Amino acid sequence: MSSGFTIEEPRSVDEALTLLAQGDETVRAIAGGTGLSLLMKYGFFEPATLVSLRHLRSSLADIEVTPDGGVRLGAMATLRDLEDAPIVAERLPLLRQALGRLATVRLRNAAQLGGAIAHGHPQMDTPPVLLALDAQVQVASIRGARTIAAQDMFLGYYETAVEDDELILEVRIPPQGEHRATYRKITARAEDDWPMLGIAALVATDGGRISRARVALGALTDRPMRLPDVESALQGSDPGSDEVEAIARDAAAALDLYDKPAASAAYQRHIVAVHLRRALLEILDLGDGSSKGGR
Amino acid sequence: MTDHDATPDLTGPDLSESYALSINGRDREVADAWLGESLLYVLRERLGLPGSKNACEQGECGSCSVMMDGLLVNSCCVLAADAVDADVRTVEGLAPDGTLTDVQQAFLDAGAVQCGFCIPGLIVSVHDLLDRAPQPDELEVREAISGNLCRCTGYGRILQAVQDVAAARTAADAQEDRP
Ligand SMILES: Cc1cc2nc3c(=O)[nH]c(=O)nc-3n(C[C@H](O)[C@H](O)[C@H](O)COP(=O)(O)OP(=O)(O)OC[C@H]3O[C@@H](n4cnc5c(N)ncnc54)[C@H](O)[C@@H]3O)c2cc1C
Ligand code: FES
Ligand code: FES
Repeated sequence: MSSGFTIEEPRSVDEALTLLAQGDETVRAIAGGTGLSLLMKYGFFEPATLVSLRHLRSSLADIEVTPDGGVRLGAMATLRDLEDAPIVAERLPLLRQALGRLATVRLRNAAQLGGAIAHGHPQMDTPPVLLALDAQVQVASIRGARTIAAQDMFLGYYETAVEDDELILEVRIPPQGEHRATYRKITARAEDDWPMLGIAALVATDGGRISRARVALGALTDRPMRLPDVESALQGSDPGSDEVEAIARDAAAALDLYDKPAASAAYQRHIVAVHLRRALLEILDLGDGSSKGGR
Repeated sequence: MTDHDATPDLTGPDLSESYALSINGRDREVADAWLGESLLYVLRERLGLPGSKNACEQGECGSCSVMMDGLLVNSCCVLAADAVDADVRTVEGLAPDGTLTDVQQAFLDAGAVQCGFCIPGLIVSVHDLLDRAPQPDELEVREAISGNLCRCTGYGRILQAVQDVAAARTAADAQEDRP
């Protein structure tokens, strides 16, 4: 049952890091609280100390373009801040698109980028998007600072590469160049539901050829995954719709999935084949594929 | 109250804490509370403000919607003790006692209220929407109230009520602008 704990309200990052450095996993940062407060309510997490990030927000919520043309996102920006930021709309339309359908306005007003990473729930929309954008997550502890590639961040149910004493301070997105990207969110019940599948797909083009392709799936297993075979099939090529269909079908067939209460492995594979095809057709400007119905 | 509600356990050490919240412009003392209580719980059970409703307790239904520092949030997902210093506005704070806001009146006039349980949350959400976007198109309205679940109305009259308020406010503004 609920036990006593304290809430600390550090005024500086150093102070917060000192508080987190107690070698106790029940000393935990709290950002928007939308994830953590529910885990506490269900009795999954009993803190000794919550380190509130609210007074650090003003210094760690900036969204700016970096000198190399990439984008720096402060970890304490709310999801709504990101959704509304002109820099995000202009340079990271993929992220903006995904946020636009992430739960509801009420949630996005409270949840922060750092929380949307560190929460580590496999059914979140942000992880595949961050993978597709080659995001680099900057974390710090009293031991020092380090960078974790989005690729190495998500390790399973409520598990990320962020250590107990570390805080996420910012996310860096490298310059994406000329590119087209889309996020497809498939929900099992309501429109504003958690995703049963999230597909983030991006192609950067250089003189008509695909110079870089990124395809990441979220919500299928305990962590998001890139699809290297799909990426290499796209890279350097100029596929037509039949090839795209084959690529999507093969990728879906190769997935190692398991039955879930909401969907069997076979159904999930089918959904991936349909929506991956549509995502790729869309970013390759080959129509959106919906004329082929549910195929 | 549902079973999984954050019921305070007052038997152990260090359990009772006191802090102050700012609710509808007034400072309210919260005494001897467990720090894990949600803002919704504290509003309803400790501060006598039952307007914010408790349905899902997990961020899904919007019936607990309040404004916190000018942002619409689900109060069931906010720790009350982490809202110290924040400016919290609840449905009770929208209009003086015994009077209705234009949004509340429009809901009544449009027949948008059935059992009423979801309505306080919707009213707070719609005020927030119309403050941000005085003439929302239908998609904006649907987006704003997505996550305000209503099990009775089918939403048709709610959408109508929102458009009615928007139109009435626009007409009133035009009236004012006339020389
Ligand atoms: C009803 C509901 C629906 C939802 N639907 C979706 C959905 O459709 N798609 C989706 O993607 N997500 C969804 N979510 C999950 C939501 O995205 C997360 O709850 C949210 O992003 C967590 O952010 P927060 O700021 O509230 O984090 P908190 O709850 O404050 O914290 C979550 C975790 O992150 C840690 N943390 C927070 N900030 C930092 C930091 N800067 N550094 C290190 N650790 C940190 C905390 O210690 C904690 O472990 C939903 C949640 C709810 C309640
Ligand atoms: S009670 Fe808070 S969203 Fe349902
Ligand atoms: S009027 Fe009954 S839930 Fe909306």
